[in-house]
Amino acid sequence: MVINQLPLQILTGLAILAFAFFWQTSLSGITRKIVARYHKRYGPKWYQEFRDIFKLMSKTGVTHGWVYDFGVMMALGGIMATVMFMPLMKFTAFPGFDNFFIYVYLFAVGMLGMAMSAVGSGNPLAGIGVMRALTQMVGYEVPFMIVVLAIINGHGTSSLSQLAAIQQQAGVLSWNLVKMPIGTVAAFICLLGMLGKKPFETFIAPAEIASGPMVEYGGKQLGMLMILHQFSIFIEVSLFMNLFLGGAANPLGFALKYMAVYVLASLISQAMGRFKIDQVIKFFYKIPIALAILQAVMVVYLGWGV
Amino acid sequence: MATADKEKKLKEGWEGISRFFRANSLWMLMYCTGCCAIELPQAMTSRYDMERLGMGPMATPRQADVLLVTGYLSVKTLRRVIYAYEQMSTPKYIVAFGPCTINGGIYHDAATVIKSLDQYLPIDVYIAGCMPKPEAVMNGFQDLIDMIKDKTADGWKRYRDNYDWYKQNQIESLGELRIKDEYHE
Amino acid sequence: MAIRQEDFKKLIAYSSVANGGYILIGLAMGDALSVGGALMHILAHAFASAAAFLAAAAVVHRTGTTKMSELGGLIHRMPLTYLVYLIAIISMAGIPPMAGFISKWMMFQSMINNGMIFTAAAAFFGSIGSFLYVFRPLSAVFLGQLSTKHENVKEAPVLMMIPMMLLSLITLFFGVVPNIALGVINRVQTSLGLPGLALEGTKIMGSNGVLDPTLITIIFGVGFVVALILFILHPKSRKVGLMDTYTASEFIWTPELLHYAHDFYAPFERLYNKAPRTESFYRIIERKIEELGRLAGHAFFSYKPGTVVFWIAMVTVSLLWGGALWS
Repeated sequence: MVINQLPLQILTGLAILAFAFFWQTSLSGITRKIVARYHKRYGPKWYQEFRDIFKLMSKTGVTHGWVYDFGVMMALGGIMATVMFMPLMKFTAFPGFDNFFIYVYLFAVGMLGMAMSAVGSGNPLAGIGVMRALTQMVGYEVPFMIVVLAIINGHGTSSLSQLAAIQQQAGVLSWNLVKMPIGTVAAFICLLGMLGKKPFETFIAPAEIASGPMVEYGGKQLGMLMILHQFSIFIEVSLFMNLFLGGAANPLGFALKYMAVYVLASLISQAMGRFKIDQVIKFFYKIPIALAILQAVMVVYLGWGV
Repeated sequence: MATADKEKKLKEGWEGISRFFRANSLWMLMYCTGCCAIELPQAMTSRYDMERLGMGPMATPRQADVLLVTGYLSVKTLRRVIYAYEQMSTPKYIVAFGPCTINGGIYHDAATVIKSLDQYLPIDVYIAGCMPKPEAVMNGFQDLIDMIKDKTADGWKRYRDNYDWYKQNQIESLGELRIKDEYHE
Repeated sequence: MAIRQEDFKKLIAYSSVANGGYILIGLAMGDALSVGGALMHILAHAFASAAAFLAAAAVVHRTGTTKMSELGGLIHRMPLTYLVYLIAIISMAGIPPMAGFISKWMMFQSMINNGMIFTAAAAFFGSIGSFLYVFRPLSAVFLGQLSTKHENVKEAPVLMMIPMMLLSLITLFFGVVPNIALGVINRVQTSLGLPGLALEGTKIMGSNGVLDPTLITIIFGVGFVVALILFILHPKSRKVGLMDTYTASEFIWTPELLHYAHDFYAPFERLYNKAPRTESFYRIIERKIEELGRLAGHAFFSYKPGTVVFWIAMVTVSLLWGGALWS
């Protein structure tokens, strides 16, 4: 870290943050429209998510104490820090420091902050929702990390922008999607779990548990949580894109790849029901982990796919 | 004088922007008190899509903007509806379905049913019909959106300003507002 | 096992078992980075575990119970204890910006480099699982509904607060500027004959990436400031009590019934309920050691005079003529 370059890097990071917010929120609205057409109805306008978020910020909500407010700010701060580290096309705010593990663990700060503030509201349903979210996290993190272990071991670097650059060199055939297809399938299933889409939606479903952690939120705290949700979708889909689809060299490639992943995930989720929370863990410890270990064994011991 | 004027203009500008957002993204809390609630799933599904108006269902009063009082209210239910209304975050609106909320409807001669909801909670829009067809429901929601844009939907302000009058009416009819039930200890 | 516990202190004790396993993995791999990671983990875990135990002791001192199902909502009466415990668990779960993250990062680097899949899988599972079990006391003891029995609980006494806050500050300090500790660890490593760690300024060079904890902390600070600005600019919220919460509009009067603490991870536990328990394994070892002790007792310390005379004679013979007999 060079001290005099730091302000410029922070400004680049904030620009990435602003871009991520506008891009992901518009894409959320567009996806709602696509899903609505899938259901044979019209659906809202493409900027509906913006209207939802700003409406929430303008309401006067309630607060249950300082940990309720502080947790939301800590969660949003952690997620914003993670977004600032993410490489975006050719712009990386902090080149050389975008290690894969930083994303996983800074993400955990966000989760911890949200969990803290949700349970601090005093509602037991929030506690149960957080418990289910953490249990689901145990399910999807382990197969995902094993597949990423295979990738990092194979390519020898854990920097996200370098992995993307390696994949862009030789065209489509050098994407990890093509070279490590089994791992990509396992990682996509884990991505569905990370995004909180059906069938892994138990912890925030309104009919299951009255929205789980979000049960006592109203007003600006809920608005900040929605912003947090948009940022976390951005981080997860960008991670998947950079690891398996070769990153993006120009805006058109970025838009197409990102939309492909996110819309595919949404459409798959709309066609399925919800699992119970023990079915979620049983599922994750049968198929995705078998695929992930198979992929890792192939890369580490046999040398295929590098 | 000039700064106070400018401040007022800024505040009004901010209010106008918030009103635009609020009108187009209403989240409803389905408080299905009575029979008219059957008409709500139709309004949400593909034929009369509610999502094109920006409305969507939300699970808890804290997250919702609109309280839909669908149907008749007995004394027992009204206590809980008042609790739910007070838990909502301002600005909030109420839409009342059917004639039961206007003058008792077909239960007008029952002993434990509220005859006129407006005395206890401030209503913004009434929707007529027993029960109202989905087209009428969508029309009612569109009316609410127009009222919010015209600044005439101010139920929560009426509740805040005439709080004592509402409370007096509530206590007169209901007796106790927060009861201790022996089944819940 | 830690996930299953109902008792506050036993849970933290079992977490020490898990952390001991991490240290063992790190030392066993023999890589420069992993041994450094293991030594750093010893340091980080010492501070964090000690702070967590002190926080637990403060709670016990004021309320007199360690069962999590009876406590709850203590943050409104003991906020500083809550902060100490929060910093301790952030470090134990391996989350930046505390010291636990750095040691975990270093160990993961060498695990990936050596391609040890199954060890890494177990380590990842342990890392995520640690997030689960450290969250449980936080939510069951400090957050949630305040029981009417604990209405008059006061903050922990000042003499207890000072060491707790000192430990938290040290954990935070080593998380943000770890290279001071890592310099010392470097000297230890080179004196043992292993290659040293590559440190440069505030950065740590791993085998497939670079880590800069100070930078992470600064960016986290920037993010927090942006969130704070967003929060302050918008209308103030009104404060409501803890019992005024969503209950589908039903009226509630007892806080104890509304607190979720007992059997916290029930769905997870249902999945491995049928498997043999590690606790019964420990109990079997206990019993075997007890039997060994009893055997020794019978052989050496019995009430029969014949045995005692025998042993006295043996000891005297070996003392006087041991050199000649067994040389």
